Amino acid sequence: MSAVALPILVVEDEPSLRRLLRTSLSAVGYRVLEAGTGRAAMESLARDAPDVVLLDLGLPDMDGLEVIRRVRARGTRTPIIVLSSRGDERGKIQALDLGADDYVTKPFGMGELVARIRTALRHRLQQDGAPAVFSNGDLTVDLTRRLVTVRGQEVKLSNKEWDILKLLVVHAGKVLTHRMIMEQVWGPTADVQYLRIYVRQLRQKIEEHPDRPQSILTETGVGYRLRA
Amino acid sequence: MRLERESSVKAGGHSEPLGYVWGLAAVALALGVAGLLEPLAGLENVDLVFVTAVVAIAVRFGLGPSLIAAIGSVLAYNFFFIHPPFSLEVADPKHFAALIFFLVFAVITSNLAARVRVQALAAQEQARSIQALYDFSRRIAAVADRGELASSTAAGMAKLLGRDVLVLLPDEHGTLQVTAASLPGDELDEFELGALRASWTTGDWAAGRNAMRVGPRLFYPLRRDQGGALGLVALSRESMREPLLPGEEPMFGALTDQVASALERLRLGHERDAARLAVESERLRTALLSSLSHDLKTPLATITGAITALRQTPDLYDDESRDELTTMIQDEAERMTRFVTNLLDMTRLEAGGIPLTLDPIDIGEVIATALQRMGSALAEHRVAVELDPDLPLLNLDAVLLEQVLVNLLDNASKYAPPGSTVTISGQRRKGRGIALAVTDEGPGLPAGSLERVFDKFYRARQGDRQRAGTGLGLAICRGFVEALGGSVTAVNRQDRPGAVFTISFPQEVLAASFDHEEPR
Repeated sequence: MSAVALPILVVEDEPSLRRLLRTSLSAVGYRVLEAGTGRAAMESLARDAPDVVLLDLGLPDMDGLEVIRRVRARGTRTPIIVLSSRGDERGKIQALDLGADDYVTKPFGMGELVARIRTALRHRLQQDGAPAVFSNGDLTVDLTRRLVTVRGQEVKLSNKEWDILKLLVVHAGKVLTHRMIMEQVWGPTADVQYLRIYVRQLRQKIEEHPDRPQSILTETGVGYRLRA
Repeated sequence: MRLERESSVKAGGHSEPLGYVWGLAAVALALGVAGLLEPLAGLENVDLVFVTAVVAIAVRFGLGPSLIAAIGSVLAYNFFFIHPPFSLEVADPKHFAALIFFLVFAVITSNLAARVRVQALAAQEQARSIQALYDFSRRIAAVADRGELASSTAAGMAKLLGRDVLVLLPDEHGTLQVTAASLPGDELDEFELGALRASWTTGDWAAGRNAMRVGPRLFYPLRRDQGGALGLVALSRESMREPLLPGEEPMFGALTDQVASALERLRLGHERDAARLAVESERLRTALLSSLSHDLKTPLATITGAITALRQTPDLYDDESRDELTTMIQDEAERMTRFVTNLLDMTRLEAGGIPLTLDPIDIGEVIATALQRMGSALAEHRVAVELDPDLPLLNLDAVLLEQVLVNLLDNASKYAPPGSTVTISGQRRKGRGIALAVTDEGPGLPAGSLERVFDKFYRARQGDRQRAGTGLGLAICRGFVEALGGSVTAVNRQDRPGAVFTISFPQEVLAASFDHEEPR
């Protein structure tokens, strides 16, 4: 982490949640800016240029989705992490489609939130080139040499399996919706069945316990995430 | 009434022009027969052949054709058989009298026959309209709501009375509305509706008004036995007012009685449902409140206790006990989260129409996320996952199914002792869909409660209050599984104590199989 505290904008209308985020994120070393409405959020984004935005979808003055739409329409690429609720998978997918980078589901653990923020910041800094070698402990992927090793053993992947894994590695730690993956790997008309089958096969090859996956995580109703 | 109109149409209608043709044909036929018969039977019997023809025509076709037949017969008889032959001259006055009788005979017979025929037709028609009335009342006895009743009434009355029909019923605010029309798009204009509503609100109809003319229509009340009016029926024919004929009144009365009693039946049924619902929701509210106070207060007490301990007397605790206290806080908060989740899910179920996102899903994947969500709650149990290796993808909503599994696992974690095994299995059943089961090694379910465990707020045993839970989890399971087109049942294990919850989905949820190779 740099010596200067990075500014994070928290857009949340619940004072108690704002207080929690202010306290805990400050303790981790961020400078926390706060907005209680969509309008205040837009102003702060223009004025303070935060490095990350945490955005609640239910705001008193406008839909959080509308905030994302307007921010992206301005060409601002600041990472946005949505604070969403369980059961609102459609809202999550819409937010991601509109250009949000990730989400956490309330109630969330602080460790999980900080990990999402770090992932978003890392991807922002690396936008023009991911490191050639990814590793999360068990799994190592060398993107330039097209080499996959699991616990020291090299693993052979089919073309589609490699395409999916590569996409997950490039976005390691970030959620990718089913549609995003399918469009990248097969094109716009693909059937989600293919994705399920190939993810199943991929897990057989790279997970120690394919029925309790630790690398390729399922985001139910939304998509997949590679543990970074 | 309609039946008279129809029978008179038949009595006259048949005779033209076909009856007259038949009349002449009968004469020709009689002439032929008479010609053959005369040498054998003699002249004096020949006229009977013609009489037979005239009677036959009178019976079948009525007066006109029978007169034609009579005149034809007289002419033919005279021309061919009366001396001098092949002329119309009548030499013998005796024959002249016979001719007169012929005509009189034709008139009387055809009149008698016509009357008999009209009566027969009337009886037939009456049987038909009784059948129609019977059909009508059977149809409206089966309807389940007022809208359906109104449209059945409009269609049925239009058919039976030969009019265009509107049915007007008061809405929930008591304002008269056109509820159904026998002609699609038939409506009242603003003024007509205004006039009727005025007469309705003044209580004219309730007080006994029997008819009202508005625009091109005549309005009659739907009256119940105890008096008062339940609605109105409008009759018209081709945009003309056409009052009920005296003969139509009994039929109309029978129809409106039927409709009024059907309306009454619906209203009483509605009131009964509302009363039952009120009792049921009162019971649920009580159960919910007691559940709320128990299930929220317990974790809150734990959390408050642990927090105040840590804040007020921090020096008393070493690292280990501090860690235990904070773990308790987290566990209790997670428990409250599950509780609130259940409450929200129940609310969504009761509101109806849960939006489904049906996608081909990998059941193994859903089981994995459900287990992950259970987290520490199953930490002290062994968990086994046994899936057929060739399980196909299922067209289901992953989020709902995950919640179903979480609730079943939550249930198992509460009732099965620590250290025991909870098994999740999935099997394809040949041609009969797929079965998922959660099996535990707990005490099993009390006999007789296998069905009731899915009731809201049901708890298997009296002491179950001690176990954290809402009494909603299994009810939500059943609601979600049914929303997904499946069913869920509970049984006790045969091999040892323990419960088995089985979710079955029909063959249709199996995603269409496809080529395993690279697509395209």
